[in-house]
Amino acid sequence: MDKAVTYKKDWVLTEQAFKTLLRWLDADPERAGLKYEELRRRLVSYFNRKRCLAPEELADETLNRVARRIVEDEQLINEEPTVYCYRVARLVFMEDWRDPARLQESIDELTPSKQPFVAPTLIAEEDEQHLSERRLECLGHCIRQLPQEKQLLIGEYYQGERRAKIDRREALAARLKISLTALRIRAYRIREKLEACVSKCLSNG
Amino acid sequence: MRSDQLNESIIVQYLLGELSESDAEALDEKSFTDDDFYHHLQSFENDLIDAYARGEMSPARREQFERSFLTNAKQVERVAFAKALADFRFPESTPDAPPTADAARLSALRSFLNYLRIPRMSLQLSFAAAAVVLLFGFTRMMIETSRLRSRLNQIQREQAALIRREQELQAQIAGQLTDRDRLVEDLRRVQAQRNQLQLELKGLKPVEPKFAFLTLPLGGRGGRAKDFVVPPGTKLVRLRVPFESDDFASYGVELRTQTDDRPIWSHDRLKARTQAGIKFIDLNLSAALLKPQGYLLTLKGVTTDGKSDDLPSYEFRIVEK
Repeated sequence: MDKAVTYKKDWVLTEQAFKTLLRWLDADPERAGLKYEELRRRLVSYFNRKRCLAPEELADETLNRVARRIVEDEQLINEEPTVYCYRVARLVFMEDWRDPARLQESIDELTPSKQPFVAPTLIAEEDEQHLSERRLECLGHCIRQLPQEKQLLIGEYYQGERRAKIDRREALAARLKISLTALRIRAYRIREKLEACVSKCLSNG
Repeated sequence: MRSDQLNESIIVQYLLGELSESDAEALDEKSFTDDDFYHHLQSFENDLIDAYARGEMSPARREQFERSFLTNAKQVERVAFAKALADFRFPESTPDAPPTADAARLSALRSFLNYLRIPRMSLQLSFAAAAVVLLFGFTRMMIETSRLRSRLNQIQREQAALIRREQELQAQIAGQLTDRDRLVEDLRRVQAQRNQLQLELKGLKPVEPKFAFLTLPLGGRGGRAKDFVVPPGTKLVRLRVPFESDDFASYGVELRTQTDDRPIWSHDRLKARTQAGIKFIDLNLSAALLKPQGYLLTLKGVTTDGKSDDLPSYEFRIVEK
């Protein structure tokens, strides 16, 4: 990196800074917005793989730092946005790994999604049962909102178990005349939408 | 191990935190710079979560997964979603998919209640959409039925015209067959008449002899030469040679032309017969041998001991008719 990015707790991402960040990602505002969302997803995924306790907060922290750097002097960044963001993310991870308590808040102020990890077996059986049923209902609702061909694809993709499931996926890929890799990516994108839909459905109660 | 299996193995190790730090960092950066790899990674991650949610992992792998993945509420929620996805009965699911224990708890009545929980507006819109689709389908079916009926009528008319044409052609063929038969019959009749005429013509024409009988005068050369006519068409001439002499054991005959004294026929050891006291010898000669000209026939008797005596000779002419 050109210069070590130090953490400044009192720097806040303003609307102007956010627009500058988007413009740095892409000159076209619409494409820039899509790239921002994609970048954030990858950052969350990265911090999840790193077993961080708060991957979304760390992702936001990363983007804040990148935006601050661009505001200070965009000319100093001579790398591709994805590469630069990764380097900042790595730094954020290293800081978090050294001091995980740095971003922790009072347990009384934590939202349910930020509660410390508890083994699923310790969760009350009754609550889990109810939540599972709600989740299933939401999943059904979200699947029915998908276009017909996507419903069929996702249904066919997740049917069966073990070897039978693999065979079905290979047959499905052959029927769609695409590679297995392409099918996996299609299924992953549909699943990502479903996960977001179910999460929203659950939060709506 | 195939290269794709090797890549899959490395990705699983990476996701479970089993790679070295340097290898993991390389894949970390790749997940940002390589779109295909990133999506590949996410789908593999989903597969791992699915395997865990469905209980398809070995105990050791399961423990590793829980240590690596279940590190925050978001990841726990992903596992819960995977379980819901495993339990969900898709509309086109195959009948052989075995229901899981969780799916068994979801009864048909609960599914019906789940469906009713969908906002009424959506239900009404769904019914309206279904009605529009049905109406559109029915209208299309009616239009198609009308078109097919019209086409059927046209085909029936064309078929009737073809049948009529076939009948006309058959009638023509039958007529032509009748004409042909009549012509054949006429031909037979004409042939029969011709044969009859030929037979009648045969009856009117003189029968051409095939056999001529000539008798030389008795006395031989001393008398006047006799003229004979051999009719045309004669094949064989029997020439009777009468003579008076003592009995000989056999007789010899030689025929020569008078103009150049050329021998044209001879025969020895002939036997004579007697009729009314007159001896004679019958010679069977080919008519082709006796051209119109003069001939000299000489006769001789041959004793038992081979001695010969000259007997009278004869002159005759074959003349044209």
